[in-house]
Amino acid sequence: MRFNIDDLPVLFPYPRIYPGTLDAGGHCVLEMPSGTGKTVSLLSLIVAYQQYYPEHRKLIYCSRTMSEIEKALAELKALMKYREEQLGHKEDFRGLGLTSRKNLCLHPSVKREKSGAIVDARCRSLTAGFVKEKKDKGEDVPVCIYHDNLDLLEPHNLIPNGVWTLDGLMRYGEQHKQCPYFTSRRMMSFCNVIIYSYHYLLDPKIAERVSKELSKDCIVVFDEAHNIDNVCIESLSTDITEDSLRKATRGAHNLENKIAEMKDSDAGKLKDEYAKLVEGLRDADEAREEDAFMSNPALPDDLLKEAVPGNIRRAEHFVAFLKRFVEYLKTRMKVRQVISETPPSFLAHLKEYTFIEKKPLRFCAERLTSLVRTLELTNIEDYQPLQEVATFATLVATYEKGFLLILEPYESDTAEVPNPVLHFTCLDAAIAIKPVFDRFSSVIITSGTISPLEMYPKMLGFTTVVQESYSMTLARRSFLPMIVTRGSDQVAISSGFQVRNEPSVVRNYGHLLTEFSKLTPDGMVVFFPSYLYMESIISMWQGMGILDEVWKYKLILVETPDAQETSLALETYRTACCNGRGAILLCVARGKVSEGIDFDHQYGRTVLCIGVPFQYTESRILKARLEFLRETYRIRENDFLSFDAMRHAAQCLGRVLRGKDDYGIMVLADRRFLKKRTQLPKWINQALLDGEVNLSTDMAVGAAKKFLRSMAQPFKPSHQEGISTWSLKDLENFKEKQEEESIRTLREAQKDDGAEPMDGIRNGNEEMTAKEDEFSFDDDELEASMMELDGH
Amino acid sequence: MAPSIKGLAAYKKKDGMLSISKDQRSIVWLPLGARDADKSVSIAVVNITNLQQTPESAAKVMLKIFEKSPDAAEPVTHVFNFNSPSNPRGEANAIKDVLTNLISAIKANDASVPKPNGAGPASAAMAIASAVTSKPASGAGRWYDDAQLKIDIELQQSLMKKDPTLHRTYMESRRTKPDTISDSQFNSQFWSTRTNILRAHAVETHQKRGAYNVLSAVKPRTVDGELKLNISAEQVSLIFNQHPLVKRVYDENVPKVNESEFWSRFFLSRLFKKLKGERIVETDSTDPTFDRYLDTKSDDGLSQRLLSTHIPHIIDLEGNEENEGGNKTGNRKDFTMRPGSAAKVPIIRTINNLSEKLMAHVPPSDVDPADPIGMDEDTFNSLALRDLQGDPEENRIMLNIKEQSRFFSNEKSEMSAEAAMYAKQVPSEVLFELQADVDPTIMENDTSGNLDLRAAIGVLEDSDSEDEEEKMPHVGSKASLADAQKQVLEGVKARRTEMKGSSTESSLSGLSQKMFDRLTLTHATTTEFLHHFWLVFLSGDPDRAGELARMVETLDRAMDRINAVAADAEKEREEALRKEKQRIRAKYDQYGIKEPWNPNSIGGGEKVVREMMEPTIRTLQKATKEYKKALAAEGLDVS
Repeated sequence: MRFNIDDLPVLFPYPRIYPGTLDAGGHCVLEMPSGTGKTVSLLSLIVAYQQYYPEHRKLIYCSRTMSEIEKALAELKALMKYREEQLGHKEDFRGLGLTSRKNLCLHPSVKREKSGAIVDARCRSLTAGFVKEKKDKGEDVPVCIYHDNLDLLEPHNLIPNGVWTLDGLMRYGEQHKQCPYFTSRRMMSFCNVIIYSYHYLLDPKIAERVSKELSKDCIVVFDEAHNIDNVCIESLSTDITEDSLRKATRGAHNLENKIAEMKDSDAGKLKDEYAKLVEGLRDADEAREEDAFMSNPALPDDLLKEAVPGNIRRAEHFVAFLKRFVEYLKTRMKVRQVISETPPSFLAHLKEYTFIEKKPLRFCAERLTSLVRTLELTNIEDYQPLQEVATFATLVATYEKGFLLILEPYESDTAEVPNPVLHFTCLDAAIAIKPVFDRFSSVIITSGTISPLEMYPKMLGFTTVVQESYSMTLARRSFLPMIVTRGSDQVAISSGFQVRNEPSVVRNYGHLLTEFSKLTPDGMVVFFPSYLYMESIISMWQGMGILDEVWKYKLILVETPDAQETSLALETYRTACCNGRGAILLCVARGKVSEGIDFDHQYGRTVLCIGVPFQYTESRILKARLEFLRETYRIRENDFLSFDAMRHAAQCLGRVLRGKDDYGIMVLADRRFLKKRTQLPKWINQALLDGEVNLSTDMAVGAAKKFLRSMAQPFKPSHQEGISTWSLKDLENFKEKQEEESIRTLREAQKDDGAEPMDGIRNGNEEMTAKEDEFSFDDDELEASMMELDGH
Repeated sequence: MAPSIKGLAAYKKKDGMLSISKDQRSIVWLPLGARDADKSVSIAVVNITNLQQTPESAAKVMLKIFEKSPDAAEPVTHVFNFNSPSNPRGEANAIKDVLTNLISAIKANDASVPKPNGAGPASAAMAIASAVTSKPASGAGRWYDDAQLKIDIELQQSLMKKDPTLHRTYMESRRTKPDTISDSQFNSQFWSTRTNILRAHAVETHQKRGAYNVLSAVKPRTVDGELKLNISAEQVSLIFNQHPLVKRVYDENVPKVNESEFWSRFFLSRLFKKLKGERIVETDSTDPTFDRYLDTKSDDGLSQRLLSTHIPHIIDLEGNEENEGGNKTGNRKDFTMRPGSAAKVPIIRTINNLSEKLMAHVPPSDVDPADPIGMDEDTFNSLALRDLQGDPEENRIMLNIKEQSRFFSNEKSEMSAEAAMYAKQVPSEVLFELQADVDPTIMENDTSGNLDLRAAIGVLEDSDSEDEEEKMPHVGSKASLADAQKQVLEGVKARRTEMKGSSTESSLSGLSQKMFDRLTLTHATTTEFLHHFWLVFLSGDPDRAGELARMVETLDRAMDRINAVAADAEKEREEALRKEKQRIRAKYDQYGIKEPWNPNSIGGGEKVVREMMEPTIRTLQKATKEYKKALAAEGLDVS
C-alpha cells in the first residue's frame, strides 16, 4: 500500500499496516512490541526517505545475529520488489549484508575450518596483497581464486544492483566464482543499505577497517538493541590467561627468528618499514585496508598521525619489548590473591618494574600488525595470542577511565588449583558507542523489549529526541502472560540462590513443566536463568521421573554448549513442531538460542521462564560494573540488576509472537516476578491482567486451557481489520483525524501565548520531533515525522 | 540400505536364491548350486508392472512378478515359490516390501511429468505429503497420485466398508451401468470424482503412532519385593532401534541368560542408567554382564549428522556466533553461564540424541537437503507477517443464471399475505375508521346506559352466516373472528411441526421408507451418470463419442428407472388406498359409523415421486437435448 506521511510517499509492502508503525528522527530509542513489523516499518520508511530526497543518505542497519541480518535482508528484498511493482521501474538500489568470513567463505578447503578465527587467518594468508605480488612474480603460492577474480571486475560494480540476502550473495558468488565476503566489503561504499552486525560499528578494532568509509550523514539503526550496552562493553574487554601468555612467548620467539631470517635475505624491507614508521602510522594504514593482517584496537586519530616511538621502531627492539611485557604479565599472574586495579595503577607498577612507558605500549597492536605485514607471515593463527597481548597493551595504555583490571587466581571460591585469569574489563558502555553518536547524526535504537527506556540514554551517554514505547493494538487477546508464584501445593517457587535446589521447588517447577507440556500444542520453549542451573535442574528432574512423564507428550531438546549441536537440536525441534509430534526446547535465557531465534506460530505456543534471569551477582566483573554505574551514572545496583534480568525475561517472552495472528502463552514462574511486573515492556504489562499475576500451577493451567480454547475459535482476518491491522482507508481516516487534532492544538497553543509552539522541539542538531498527536515536518530533514497511535 | 535382501525361492520347480541386486536396479534369481549364470533370471525393477502375492494366511508363499520390457508386447510372469525352511513368509515380505518401494519410487518419478492429470494436483498433494508422510520415497508416495488411488481396489473397498452410503451408491450404479462400459472403466470413472475421499481415507488409515522414548515409558514395578516388568514385543524392537548397543548386548548374551531375566536385569543395571543419561553413582548395583558394555563407545553419529545437515541461516547458531567478524572479544562468562562438561551432565546429550533419533525418519521441516542452499520462498513466507497480507484473491467462478426471475418467482410471496393486506391499506383511513367506530357521540348506549363497545366493533352475536351482508367488515364481525381463529390455529400447527422437527411422514411425503430409499438411490445413481455424461460430453474428446452414445442410453435408462419407481410408488399408494377403503368399510360394517372418504389422506404415489424427481428429470431431459443438439450440429441424425 502507498501512503504519505507528510510529504513523504511511503510504500509499504503489505497491503495492511499495523497501527503504530512509525518513523522517527534524531537519536532515538523506540520500543515496539515484538513481531509487529518493526523491521519492515523502519525499512520502508527509511527507504522511502532515501529515494525521495536527492541526497540518498545511506542506511546502516545493525542487527544482532546473522539470523536477524538474513531476516532483515529478506524483508528489504520484498520491500524493493514491491516498490518496483508499484513504481513501475527498477530503482537504482543496492542492499547488501555482511557477516564474518566463516559464514560467507566459498573456498573449498578454508570453509571447512570449524573455527572462525582460523578461517579468518587462512583467508588472509590467501588474499593478502603480497601474496598476489608473489604470484605475479611467478612464485608458487596458494591463492584464493574467488578473491582474485574480484580484481578482474570493475571495482565499483562487483555485483549488480538489487538486494542480496546472504544466501543469495553466496549463490551469486558460487556462480560467478567470486568471493561473497570481499564483494560485500568492497561494495559497502556503493550501497544504499548495509545490514550487518553491531560489531562492525561498535568494536573499534573492526569498525576502523570495515566501516570507516561510511559518511557522516548515514542513518544508523540498531535493531534488537536491548543488549547493546553489553555488546559495547564486550568489544573493549579482553582476558589474558597463563596459557595465552605461554603461547605469546612462543610467538615472540618465532618473530625473532623470522626477523633474523629476513635480515639475511632482504634487509631493505625492514629498513623501509623503519622509515615509514618515522613518518607515523598513517601511511601504514593506507596499505592496511582490508588485507590488514591482524586487527588493532581503537586508536584515536591523533595517534595515527604521530610517529611511532623510537624504542619500538626497530623490529628486533619491538620484539624484545613485547617479550619483556609478556614476562611482566607472567609474574603478575603468579599472585595468589584477587587484585583489582585501575589502568593508571597498573601502568605505574609496570613502569616501576620494567621501565616500560605508556606511550610505546599504546602503539603495540599497530606496530605488531605492521611487522607481521613486513615479514609477510602467512600462518597468522600462531601469532593470535601475541596479538591478544598487544591488544591488551594498547587498550590498557589508551583508556584510563571506565576500565578495570581484575586478576582472579582461582576459578571459583572452592577451587584448589590456581588457574589465573587477568580480566581487562570495560565498565562504561558509552565509550564504545560514543564514536558512533559523534559521527552519525541520526541513530535509532530499537527493540521489542527495551524497557525502561530511560536506562539506555543514561548508560550509553547520549540524549534522545524521541523516546517511545508503543503498545500493541489487538482485536483479541492473542497472548496470555501469566505470573506463577506458587506450585499446586502452595509452596512458593523461586530460582533464588537459597531455595533453587530444594526438592519441593524443583518438583514444583517440574510439575509446571509437565502440565504445560500436556496442554500446549506443538512447540514449547523453556528458559532457565543460567547453564549451571539448567544442568542441575534437568538432572534432578530426570531423577524424579519428571522427564519420563514429559516424554509421553513431547520430545525434549536441550541447548548445549556447542553451537553446531544446538543448531541441529533446533532443527529437530522445528521438525517435530511442524510434524505435529510436538517438542520442548530447554534453553538458557542469556544463551545462544534466546538471541535471534524466533519461536513463532507452531514453533512456540508456550514460553516458560523458570526463575528470574539474574546475572551471577558474585561475579567480580559485575560487581565492578555495578559500582561504576552507581558512581558515574547514579544507577542503583538493584535497579540495574533487576532491569537487566527483566529485559532478558521480556526478550524470552517476546520470542513466541510474530504477527498479530500468532498466539502464545507466556509464563513467568518465580515468586519474585510479582514485584517486577512494572519493569516489563508496556505491551506485555498491558496484557497482564491483575487476576493473572499471582497464580498457582493449577490456576495457571486452567487459565491457559481457557485461553487455548478461545484461540481455537475461528477468527477471521476481517475481524482484525480496523483494529489491529489497518488498510489504507483506515490509515487515511486516522491521519485526517490527527491532522484536525494537530490544527486544534496549534490554535490553542497560539491562543495561550502565541510564542513558542508546543510541538516540534528543536534540538541542537536541527532535528525535530513530533509529539504524539501532531505532525510537523522540516523539509531539509526527514527526521521528524512519526505517528503515534494510541493503543487503548 | 540394509544388506542385500534375499530369500530361498523355487522358480520353475528349481530351488534357488532370489535376491535384490546391490544397486537395487534388478531382482535376480540364481539356481542353488548351479554355477552357470545362464539359468539365472534377472528382472529389471523398471520393467516390473505388477506384483502379486499369496495371501498372508495361505500356506504357500508365492510371489508373482509381472515383467514387461519396453520392447515386449506382452508381460511375462514369473512365479517364485518361497520355500525357505525357517521363514518363507518373512523373506517373501522383505523382498516384496523392497520391491514395492522401489517400484513406487520409480513410478512416482516418471509419473510426475507425463501423467494426464498433470503436475498441478501432484504438487499440491505433495505439499500435504510432506506434512504427513515420513519418507517421501516410501510407499506413501502412491497416495498422492490420483491414478494410483483410482486403481487401489483394496483401499476403495475399505473406504466403502466404512461408508455404507457410498457403498450403496457404488453398487447401484454398478448394477445399472450400461453393459458397454467395462467394470474397470466404470471403476475408474466412479472413483475419478472421489479421489479426494480416497486420499483422505488412505492417509487416515495409514497413520501410525510414531516412535516414543521407550526407556522412559517402561516402568519396572516392584510387587512383593519382586521386580515385575511388562514389556511388549513392540517395545523391545523400539529399544533395539533406539539403542543399538542394547541390541548388541542382547545378541551376545541372550542364549546364555534367559530373556525375561535379561530384561529385568537390564532395567536395574548401570548400563540402563547410562543409556537414560543418568549419572552413575557408587551405590548402583553392579552386574558383570552389563557392566562390560559400559565403556563401549557408542558412536551416536553426531559428527556425521552435523556434516550432512544443512541448517538454514535463520536458525544457524554457529553462524550467529561467528557473526562478529574477527576476533572474539569480551570477558569470559561467569561460571554459572559456563556449561559443565558432558561427563558431569550426560543427560543433555542423551536427550538431544534421542529426540533426534525419534525424528530421524521425518524429513526436516525447514529445508530439503537436496535443495540448493538459500533462503527459498517458503522460508521467506514463513517469516512474512501473515496477517498483513491482503485478502487472498477471489478464486470463485461467477455463476451466471439467465432469467433469474423464473427461478425465484416464488420469492415474491415472501411477504406474507397479511403484510400484503396491510400494505394496501392507508393508515390515515384506517385510523379514521377506528375513530369513527369508537366515537362516543355516535356510539349507541347499551341497556345499562353505557356505551356499547360490542356494537361499535360490530360483534353481532346473532349472525351466524358468514356471508352476511355488511358494507364494512368490522373487527368484531363473524368473518374477522373466524379469520383470526384460523390464523392462530395455523400458527400452532406450524409451530408444532417445527417442534417435532421434520416429521418422517411429512418428509417422506407419504412414501414408504422402502420406496423412499429406492428413490434416493435412483436419484444418486442418476446424478452419478449425469456427472459422467457431462464429464465426457464437455471433454470435447472425439474419441469418446462412442462412449458418449452409450452414456446417453444410460441416461434414457435412468429415466426408465425413475418411471419404474414412480409406477411402483403409485402401486403402493393404490394398495394403501385400497386398504384404507377396506378399513372404512369394515368399520362401517362393524359399528355402523361412516367415515368421510378422502382420497387425499393417503400421500405418496406417482405424483409425489414426480415432484421429488422433477429437477432430476429436467436435467436428464436437458442432457439428452444437449446431446441431440450437438449431434445435429455435427450433422448426424439422431437415430
